[in-house]
Parts: sequence; C-alpha cells; structure tokens
Amino acid sequence: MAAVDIAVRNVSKSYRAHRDGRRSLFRRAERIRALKEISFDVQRGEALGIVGPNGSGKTTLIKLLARITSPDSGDITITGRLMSLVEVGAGFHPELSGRENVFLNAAIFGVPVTEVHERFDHILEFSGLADFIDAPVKTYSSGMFVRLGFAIASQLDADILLLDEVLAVGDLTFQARCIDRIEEIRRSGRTILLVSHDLAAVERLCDRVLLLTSGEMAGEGSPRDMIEKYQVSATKRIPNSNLNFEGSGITLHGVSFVGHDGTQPRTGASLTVRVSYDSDVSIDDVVFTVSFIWPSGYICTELVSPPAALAPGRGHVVFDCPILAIQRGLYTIDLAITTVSGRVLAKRIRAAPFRVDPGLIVQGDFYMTHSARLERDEN
Amino acid sequence: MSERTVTVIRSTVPALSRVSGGLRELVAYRELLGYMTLNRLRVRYQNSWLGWTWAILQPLAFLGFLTVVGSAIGGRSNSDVPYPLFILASLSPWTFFATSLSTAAAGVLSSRALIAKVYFPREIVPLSYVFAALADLVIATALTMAALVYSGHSIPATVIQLLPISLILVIYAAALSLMLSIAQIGFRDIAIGLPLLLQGMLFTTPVLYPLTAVPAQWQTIYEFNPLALLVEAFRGALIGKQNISAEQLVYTAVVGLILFGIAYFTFKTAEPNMVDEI
Repeated sequence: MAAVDIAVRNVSKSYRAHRDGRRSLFRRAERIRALKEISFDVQRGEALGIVGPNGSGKTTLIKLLARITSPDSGDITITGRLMSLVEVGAGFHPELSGRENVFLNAAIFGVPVTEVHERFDHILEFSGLADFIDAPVKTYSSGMFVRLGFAIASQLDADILLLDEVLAVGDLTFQARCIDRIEEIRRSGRTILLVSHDLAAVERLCDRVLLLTSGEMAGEGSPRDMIEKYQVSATKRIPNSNLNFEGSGITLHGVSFVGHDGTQPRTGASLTVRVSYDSDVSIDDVVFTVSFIWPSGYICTELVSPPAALAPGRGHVVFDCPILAIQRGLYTIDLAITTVSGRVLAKRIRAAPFRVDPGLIVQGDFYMTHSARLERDEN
Repeated sequence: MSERTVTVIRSTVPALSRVSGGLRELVAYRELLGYMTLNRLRVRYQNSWLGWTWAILQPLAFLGFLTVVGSAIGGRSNSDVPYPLFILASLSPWTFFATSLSTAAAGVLSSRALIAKVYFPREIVPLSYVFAALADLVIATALTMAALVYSGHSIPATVIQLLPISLILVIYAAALSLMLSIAQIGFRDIAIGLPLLLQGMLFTTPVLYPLTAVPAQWQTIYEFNPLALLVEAFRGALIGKQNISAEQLVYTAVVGLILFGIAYFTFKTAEPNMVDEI
C-alpha cells in the first residue's frame, strides 16, 4: 500500500470579486467560488496531471497546496518537502540578481544554504543562464524567469513538486529538457503535480489526470480518458467561426462519417467520409479538402480529392479510407472547395466535430499500418 | 526513507495557537528573515553609485546640517554635550522607528510578487524592514559615539543601557509595522496618512528638544507616551545623562509586549487570505 503524499478533503475556496477595482468600507463585495468541495489523494511517486479550461480552479488548487492562500473550508495534509512553481515563475525579488534569488528561493523553501552551494552549479547549468546570473532578475525575459525557476525547483531535492504551466513559456529546447527532467524526477520516486494546457505533455508525463471545470471535479482517471473528456467539453464551448466563405455560388452542406460496417469510427478500422454540396455554377477542376484539426488548432491530416469538373445541382464527394490511422480523441473538421490553382470557392471552418473511438491501441498520435516478424541471424 | 514533515492546511488556525505556533514557525524560518534583511540593505545600497558609503553618509550629513543650523539658531543642549550630538542621539532612534513603519507598511504590497508565488510566514516581510532599519540605527549610534570621542567626551558607562532600550524599541517598531502592513492591505489610505501621523509624532516626542523642556503640566501626559520615554532614554544612555527611571522602562516594555501580542495575533488572523486581498 503506497503512502499518500497529498490528501485533499472537501476543500472550497472563494475570492472577493472587485468588480470596479475600487475598495470601500461601505460596500459588501460579492464572492466568486473558485473551488467547490474538492477531494482527492495523490500517492507517493505518482505524477498527477490537472487539466481544465481557464478559470476552472487549477491555479487556485495549486496555490492552496503551496500554502500561498488558505481554503475557506476543508483540509489538506501534505507529507514531505514541497516545492512549487506557480503561474509561470518562482517567487523572485526583481531587484536582486539571479544568483541572490536562487539563495532567496532556497531559503523560502527551507533548503539549507550548504545544500544550495552544493547544487548551485547544477542549477546554473540547467538554467543555461550563466551569462546573466549576476544581473537583476527584473531584466530577465519571461523565458529566462521560468528557466531559472524550474532549474531551482527541479534541482533541489523536494519530495513533492508542484508545476503550474512551466512548459508554456520556455522555447522548444528548454521544453524538451523540462520534460526529460520531470520524467527523471518521476522515475526517482518523487511526487509530481503538473498543471498544463499542453495536453500531449500531460498524457506523456502523468499517471493519472484530474479534470476540473468551474471549480468542480469533472472527472479523475487515465490521461487519455480525461483529456478526451476535456476536449469534448471544450469543443462545445467553441463559438461558430466567422471565417466561412461561400461567395461563388457553391454551398457546402455538411460532412458525415461512417466507420467499418456502419459503426462509430475507430483507429485501425476503415472509414468513409461523405461531403455534400450544392452548386449554381459549373466549374472545371475543383478540389475538395477535408481537414482534421487537433484541439490545439494544428492540422492533424487532410483528405484531398483529385481535380474534377463540377456541374450545377446537388451532389456529394466520397472519400474511402481503408485504415483510419489517427488516434482516439476529438477532432474538428474544416471543409473547403478550391480550384486547382488554389482559389477558394467555399470554406467552412469547424464544420463538424469528429470523434474517433479506441480501436487498435497504441501510444502516440498515429497508428502506422505494419506487420512484424522475428528473424534469426545465421552465423 | 528519511522522516518527512507533515503539513496540515486548514481554513483557520485555532485562535490559541496563532501566536505560539506562529512564533515557533518564525524561529524555524530565522534564516530567511536574516537573508531578507540582508537583501533589503543590498537592494538599498548595492545599486547606488556610492553603495554602502550611504549608510554612513546619511547620519554624517545630518550631523553636518545640525552643526551649521544649530550654531545659527543657537540650539541648546541640556548637558555639556554639543547640540548636534544631543539631537542626533535622539533623532537616530526616532529615524529607526519612523523608517521601520513607513518601509514595512509599503513593503508587504511591494513584495506581492514573492507573496503570490511562494509560502513563508508573511510577517517576515515587515520584520525584515524593521531589522534593516535597525542596521542603520547601529551605524548612526556608532557614529554618534565616534563624534562624542572626537569632540573630547568619553563614552559614558550608561551606553550599556542602549541594549535593553533598543530591544524595547524594536518590539514597538515590530508591533506597529505588523499592524500597519496588515491594515495597509485593506485600506490603502494608510500610505497617504502615515507620513502625516509620523510628523505629528515627531513633534510630540522629545526628539528635537529635551523632555525637560516640556511644560510641567504636560509632562505627566508626556510620560504616558512610551515612545517619548524610549527616545529620551536612548539619548540619556548615549550622552550619559539618564532622566528615565528603570520603572518607566519596565512600563514601556510591558506595554510594548502587550502591543506586540495584539499586533502579531491580528497579523496571523489576517495572514491566510492576505494574498487574495493584495
């Protein structure tokens, strides 16, 4: 039976709302409830991810765990030395140099000075700020801020690490090093809480994920399940796009998806995509494009029809995919009709959501069609 | 695996353990208090061109002004100590007190970046300003003593009294700094009103004149003011002419400790939600 490092019981927290920013003796302020009756445990050595939309209470939760603010009710028990990086950055004094801030931070977390001296070179090396370490941190960029903060928190041996959006600010190289370092800390058996909008990183680094929406626990479970649940709820909130374009007498009606034998689309099974249109004009050489968009907004992949002549009237184009290679999850679909030269005739952004159910389960974003065999080398 | 500390976070700390538990935690964080005090001084002097020279230059310059102005207006001392030193001996403890209050009150707000990101006992912020001001008092006092010797006087045996007097003075500065810094968060008016208050206190405290210059019918009221007693006692100890009795000092100490207890309790009560209000 693993020990529990963090036990949260019925924790609620509300803030006073300063609607016009003014304070007065004579006005009772309204309160905003940031967290409502939250309870969960974090086992020793576990990496717990916390995801949810902005304003769902993620940072409030981290702040409560870090003792920066106190709950209105409920209690939290923390076993071990805890270090935190809240809201992109550590507690730095702007006028002090990076070096002095390392020591200040260590003193705040109760790390003995001798230990900081021992680890200082590691911190400096990890942060990559050797040339700036004696400059006041007020001259640092936001990236430098996070690099130093993460270097301190990750190099001093805390039992529990709270990381709030550390991956959001650093450049690609630093992000990769952060992920490696978090992985390393996790393997060494320490407990990690990670708040991030980088869902791919959460999926890769965490054993378990907590989904928060408007201050309540909307779910708790495996990273894939929770991320998908989050994506489904987030997609509902995205407003209709005003980037649609239908000025050339062609209307895109919609898109439908049918999986193998009429079932719900699954990774590894076949898929048929059907796009229907209505045209008032006749145009030679048009191309239909169906784009699959990840929740992050990046294009995952596209289906493109070969150029064909378009006659007036209703019609549809059918795409046959023998194997659906993209992983389970929720995607959004963009539709477009263009000429071969690339002129847009009609376009619909976020025309429909597209849900892929778990089929062939593999790690990562794609299923690559493959076979394998074992061969013996003859000497 | 080594023994781990267990921290329990609740919405409220029982009223009875707020002061005792708080002080115990403060002792555990003494290294941070020392480091923050050092940082206050660093930030103040390090970035300036003259650097640490300022710490001596400030009281020295004041001594110069007092010498010039004192001789021009014919300021009188109530002992054989020259007027400028007579004033400096009471102005230094006063400056310590006033600087503590004004910097500590603003300090909690300006330390927002730190308070919003990490936990540590919040009273360390105002207290670090008090101790930074104390460093200035030590320098100014040493300078006054050096000037005494330079002007042909010997350092009186009464200087040993400076230790208990300074300790009581620190208790007052700490108590009022804690109260002001917590009040400042709720009422930004403090920042505007404080200089006015300090001015008023400067004139009702025997800083620029000896306590004996106060008319007899007012003196009893004056002697209720612990700060007046402390400033007068500080000067008395430094120039070797003590007018304040041990009983009076004990009175200031008792009032000071009660005041500190109330201030610390109030601070600790408001502390948990401090960061939300800043």
